[in-house]
Amino acid sequence: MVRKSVLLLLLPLLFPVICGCDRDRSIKIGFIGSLTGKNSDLGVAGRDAVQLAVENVNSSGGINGSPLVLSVQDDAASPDTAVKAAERLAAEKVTAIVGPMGSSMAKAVLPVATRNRIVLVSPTSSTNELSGKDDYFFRVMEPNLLFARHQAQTCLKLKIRRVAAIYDLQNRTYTVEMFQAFKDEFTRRGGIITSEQSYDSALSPAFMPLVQKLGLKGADGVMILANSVDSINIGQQIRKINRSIPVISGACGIAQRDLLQQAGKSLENIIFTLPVNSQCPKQSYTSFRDNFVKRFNYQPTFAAVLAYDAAQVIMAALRKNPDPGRFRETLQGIGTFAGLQGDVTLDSFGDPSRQLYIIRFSEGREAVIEQ
Amino acid sequence: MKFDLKRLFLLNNLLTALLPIIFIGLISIAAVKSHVMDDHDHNGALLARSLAGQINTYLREPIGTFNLLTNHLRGHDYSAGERSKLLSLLVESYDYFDAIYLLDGRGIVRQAGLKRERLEAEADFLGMDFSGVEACREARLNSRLQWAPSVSISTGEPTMSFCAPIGGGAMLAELKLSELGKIINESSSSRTFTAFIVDKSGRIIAHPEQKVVERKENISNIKLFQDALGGRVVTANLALHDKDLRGTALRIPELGWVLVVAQEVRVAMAPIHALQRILFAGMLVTVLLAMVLGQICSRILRRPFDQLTGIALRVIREDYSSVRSVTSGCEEVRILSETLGRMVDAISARESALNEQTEALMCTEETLRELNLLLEEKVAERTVRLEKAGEEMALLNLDLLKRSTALEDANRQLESFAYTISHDLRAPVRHVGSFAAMLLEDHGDRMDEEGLALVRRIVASCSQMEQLIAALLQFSRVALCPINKTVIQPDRLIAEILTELQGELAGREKEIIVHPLPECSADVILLRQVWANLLGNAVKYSQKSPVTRIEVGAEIGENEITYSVRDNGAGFDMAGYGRLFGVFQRLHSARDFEGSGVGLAIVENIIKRHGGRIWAESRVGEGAEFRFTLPRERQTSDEAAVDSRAPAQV
Repeated sequence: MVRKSVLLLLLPLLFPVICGCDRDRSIKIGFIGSLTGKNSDLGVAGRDAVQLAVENVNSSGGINGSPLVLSVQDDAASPDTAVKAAERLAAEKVTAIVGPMGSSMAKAVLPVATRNRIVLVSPTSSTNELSGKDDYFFRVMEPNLLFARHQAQTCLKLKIRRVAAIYDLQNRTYTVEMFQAFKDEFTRRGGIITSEQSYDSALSPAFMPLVQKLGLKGADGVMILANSVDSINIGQQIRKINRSIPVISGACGIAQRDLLQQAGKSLENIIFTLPVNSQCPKQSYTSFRDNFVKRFNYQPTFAAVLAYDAAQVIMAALRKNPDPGRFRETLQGIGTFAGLQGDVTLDSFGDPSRQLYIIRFSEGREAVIEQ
Repeated sequence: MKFDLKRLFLLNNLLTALLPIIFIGLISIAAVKSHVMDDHDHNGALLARSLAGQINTYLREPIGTFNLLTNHLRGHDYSAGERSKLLSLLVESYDYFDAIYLLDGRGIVRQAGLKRERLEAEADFLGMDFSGVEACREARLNSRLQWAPSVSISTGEPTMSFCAPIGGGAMLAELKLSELGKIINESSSSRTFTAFIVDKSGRIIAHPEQKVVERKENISNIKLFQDALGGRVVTANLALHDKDLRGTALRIPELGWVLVVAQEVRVAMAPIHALQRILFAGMLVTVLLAMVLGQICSRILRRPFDQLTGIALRVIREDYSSVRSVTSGCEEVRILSETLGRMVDAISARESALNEQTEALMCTEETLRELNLLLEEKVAERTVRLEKAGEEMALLNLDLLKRSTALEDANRQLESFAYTISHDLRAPVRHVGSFAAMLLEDHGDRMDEEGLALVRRIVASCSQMEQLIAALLQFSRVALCPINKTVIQPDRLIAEILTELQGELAGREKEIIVHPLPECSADVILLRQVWANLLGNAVKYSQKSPVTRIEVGAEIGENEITYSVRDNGAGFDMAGYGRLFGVFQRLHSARDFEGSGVGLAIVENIIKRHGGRIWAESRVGEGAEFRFTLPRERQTSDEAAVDSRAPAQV
């Protein structure tokens, strides 16, 4: 009796401890992307889309009643920083990671993910090096090889047979790999690479000398494989020299649409090959687009759409089986999931199969010229 | 419920110390919390207003400079080189400008003023198309200065663009938003507040940490921002960067931006947490103090109790010598100690007395033990003797049995002999008597007087002898006849016998009382003989009394019924009692009272054969009382018979 009374009196002392013992039922996922620097266009859009996906799922009751928590990490377009970001997320015991957005970062982070048995679902990593492997890497965008082949075919269809190319040596698992694949396919099909020029964006070079060095004479078109800021900057320099030559850009070039718009008419007719159609009439996409604009006040880029798809496939797997230890197997068992613009099928290696679109930027708008 | 003093003191101390602390503490925390939050919100609002003013001031300067430059260029016709030089000079002179461009009517850069470190990229910017920059579009459309957030074409970072039309073209300046971050950082760092600016789309465009701006974070979903965008000064909690913040937000009307001034709830609540820590520490110290005080108090109070317990234990061990009174300042303990001392003295005294008694008892026990031994020896000795006596007695009994058997045989033979003799003698005696009577009658006249007298004596003797033989025959018959028991009402027998005795009683003054008599089990013929002999004797021996008084009664014993016959006749001398029941024994002469001397012997014989006893008491001249017993066989009916009848007087 006396002992009970003493315990009762000590209860106020224990109150803060008792209150702090509420069991956390939340499920944590991570995001790794380049949120700062010239490559932040993809990362910011991806983060915003994943953020929107998490907000949406939590507002509708979470995953099987458990709230989803997002931990965002900036890899600053640096593989080393990306590794540290992944280690931080592993320490936070995330179930899965959306990202990294860049191929070089994805390649650097994969060993950390494998060691910690954390699945990576990258929205935009497209390096061929991560294709066809039974590992912890999944993605919702097709690898460079397909893009490159598609771009090569597109060029030839547009009667662009001679191409001058400039590409960034940063994020070379995307740029260099993409150019090489393009070159192989293009030349195999009879195209000619008139000149090629590489540069290192980390050194913030002046672009006019690079473009001049590239030389546009004799070229039917110019291919730019760089981040969006540099792509638009280079595009501006090209337009100074040749106002009409077609500019073919990697997907990154359209990532920062406000920069494109700032460029006015100088970048009219820039052509992109994208895995996303911004004019897609599907209700799931238009609804997402409206919500995204309402939430972030800008049009979602392809990176946002793919990041949202990546978040969706993770959530679908979590709904199926929330056990973190079995998450990779669960994700492998998903097969086809409903993407914003249609069903997306992941093969057993976690590589997707989805449609590609040729986009022309004209009068401040994207227009699909071929599917 | 079991508890000790230590716990009792602890509980008491905890109750008296903790409860007031808890109640006062909780009230204080609530009051301080309210005060701190009010104070915090007030300070946040003040800081936000102050910062908004500073931001306006900060922007006013570049806008003023920009306007001044615009007007200056409008008023002077500089060459292209001079314009470039002027722009570069201005950008170098004013840190807040990142770059200044002069655009032609199509929005193409014609001259550019850049920071020194970017000068080598000047060629990139010249000829660049900025016609799509929002501020330029707005300025061209409105023909006046406009500003709008944009993205730096060189760095990709967020920036603020100012654009004003000049002639047919325009002047575009990029303002470093990082400078805004510095302003709000300087203003808020000393107050542990974080201030940041959010554009109308919800994107953070200025923050003490430039990385936050670079990350283009958007807080349009936060209610604080939404409310502030509507023009209100709002204070609320918000979660940002994994931190819980308490923020105040207001809209800067001139810019359309929202300024948020926030502080971590943890920091804002620091005074409350400190107070909570103080309270908890106080409670902890109080608990510890209560425990220590409880321990001390319990020790102080337990010490005399322990001593008292020690005394009690020594008393239990019967060690009274070392019992001393316990010293304590506590009056109750002193009284308890004294009482215990007196109790010990009393116990000691009682134990001494008890010891003495025990010793005495032990002595007695020893004596008893010795006596017991002696007794046992004697008992053993006597047992041996008794056994011997028993054996002797058994031998004697056996001998007696043999003798008794022999005697009974002899008696039976004697009775048989007596019967035979008396039966056989009866006829000759009767013949002698008859012949003597015939001789007297037929030949009396021929005999002289002497002869006549002799013959008469022969006749008389024969008659007497015949009576004796008859008596003897009767006695023998009684002894030999079998007993056939039936239930008998003695009253009826007595009534019949008294009727038969009426002849002898005739002419006497008499008083005969027969009390109610219980029935008995006996041979009716023999018992009638008993009553007839006893009543006959009573009538006979009271014939000389003036008044014949006879009383018949009975008493019911546990196992037997005692009948009595008392008279007031001649009585007898008890000295001759031994012959009273002998055959042919008489205590009176035949002259006084005739009789054969066999009657009482017959009575005794019959009573004995029924398992009873007979005895008599008498005094000469005062009558006699004869009492005899018969074994009881029907107790209930006997009692009922006696109780229901009244005595009868004849």
